[in-house]
Amino acid sequence: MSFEHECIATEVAARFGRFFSERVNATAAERDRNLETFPVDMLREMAGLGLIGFTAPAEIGGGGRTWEEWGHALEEIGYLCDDAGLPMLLSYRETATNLICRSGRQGREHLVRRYAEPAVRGEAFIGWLFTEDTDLLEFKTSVRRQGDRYVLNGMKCASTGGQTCTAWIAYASTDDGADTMAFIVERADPGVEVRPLPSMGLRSIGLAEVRFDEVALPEDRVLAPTDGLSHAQLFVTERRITGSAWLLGRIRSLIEKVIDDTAAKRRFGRALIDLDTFHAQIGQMQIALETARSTAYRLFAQTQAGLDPLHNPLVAIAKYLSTECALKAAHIAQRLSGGHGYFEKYGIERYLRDFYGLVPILGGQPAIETQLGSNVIWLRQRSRSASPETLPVTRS
Amino acid sequence: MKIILSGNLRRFASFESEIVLEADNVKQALDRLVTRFPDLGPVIYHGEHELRQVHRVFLNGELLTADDMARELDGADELGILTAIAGG
Repeated sequence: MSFEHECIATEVAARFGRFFSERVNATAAERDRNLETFPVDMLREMAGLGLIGFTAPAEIGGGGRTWEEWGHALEEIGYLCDDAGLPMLLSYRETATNLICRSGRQGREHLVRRYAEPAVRGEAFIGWLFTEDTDLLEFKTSVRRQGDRYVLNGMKCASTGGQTCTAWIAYASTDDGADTMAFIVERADPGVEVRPLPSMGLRSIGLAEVRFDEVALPEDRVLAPTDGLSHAQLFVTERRITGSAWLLGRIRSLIEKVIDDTAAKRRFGRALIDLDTFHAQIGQMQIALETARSTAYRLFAQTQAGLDPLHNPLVAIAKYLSTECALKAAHIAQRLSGGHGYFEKYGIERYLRDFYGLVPILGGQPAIETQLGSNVIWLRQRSRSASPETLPVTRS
Repeated sequence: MKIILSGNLRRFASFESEIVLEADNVKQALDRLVTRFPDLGPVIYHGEHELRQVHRVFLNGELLTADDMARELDGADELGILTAIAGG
């Protein structure tokens, strides 16, 4: 670990540790088993503790902390929290609030007042509606101008926290297909339909499909009047950073869980915990953790130095690597734990199901591999004189 | 001159990786590219034919900015378009 991490870890444990152990961990397995979303009153309680709005500007009531601090905090939240849905949901909504604040600096201060400020207070819950069952360059959700209104039609196939969202940042193609816009859509807007979306893991986040049927929005709901794809990429960048972070804590927690679970087991006439093969497998899990950490911490530090929000490939690599390392650790845990890994009551299989939730999102693992590889080949073949910072793999 | 598209843009240009065009400057080259492959229009442009921020344009390996769109080209120049690692 690093000095930066140790400082934040101490703070997180002191400020939120009791809340996690008493309010979140005690009911984590039950929430997962029953497909229960975090209740709204618990989310409001988190705002009161300072868990919501950690990085939001101080002038709107946020903590004003840096992305680096938030990254380290999320690792510790992932470690202390026995429900992976919590850091996932916290980091997701934090990013949505931050994106509204960022857009507000471009003449949309009313949206900050109306949505970001209540979100920091825990009175509103903002989601992000981008993903469809299509390639991201071929949106089906469309918007047309009708008098002084914009009218949305379409369907977004997955909204993290959608079951409890009060509003969303939603993207749609203009009806001439020439551009993409972003709007704020409220849950109460006529024509908005929210359908729960049961999932393999991360069940407490309350995934939902959201449908738009002739949803009419006034001009003051426009968040990005043009180039919505680049606007969305800003969200993806922050999500990749924070999504990398909380996985680190979950891997740490899993390693400890497997060791503790093994303490009383015997194999081949000996205590399992004394076998070299067991030690080697735990060593592999630790290597996976430190591999993911090395990239994530490097990325956290880069956020302090001024990160290119659109073109830094380390952002995608950190999310990719954290996910792969978490899955590797979870697969090792399954093999080491035998029936304890397979049976729900021991809580080990939940890590595997939760970690798979990171595979399809934020570009998806195969899509990141493909796009990164394409860019590396392209630059190697065509732009040998490109400066280092334009290369897909940044140099330390 | 020729334009080189990165992998995920090629499907909007009939999977051609190198497109040979005649153009006097960078902006004209991009406009003619979109005229030849209309599906590329909404992918690389937004609004009034402004380049989306998720793309980077290189001229003979040099990264260009929005202020470089009037840069003159000659027949031997190579313009490249590289896209951010997108996600949703």
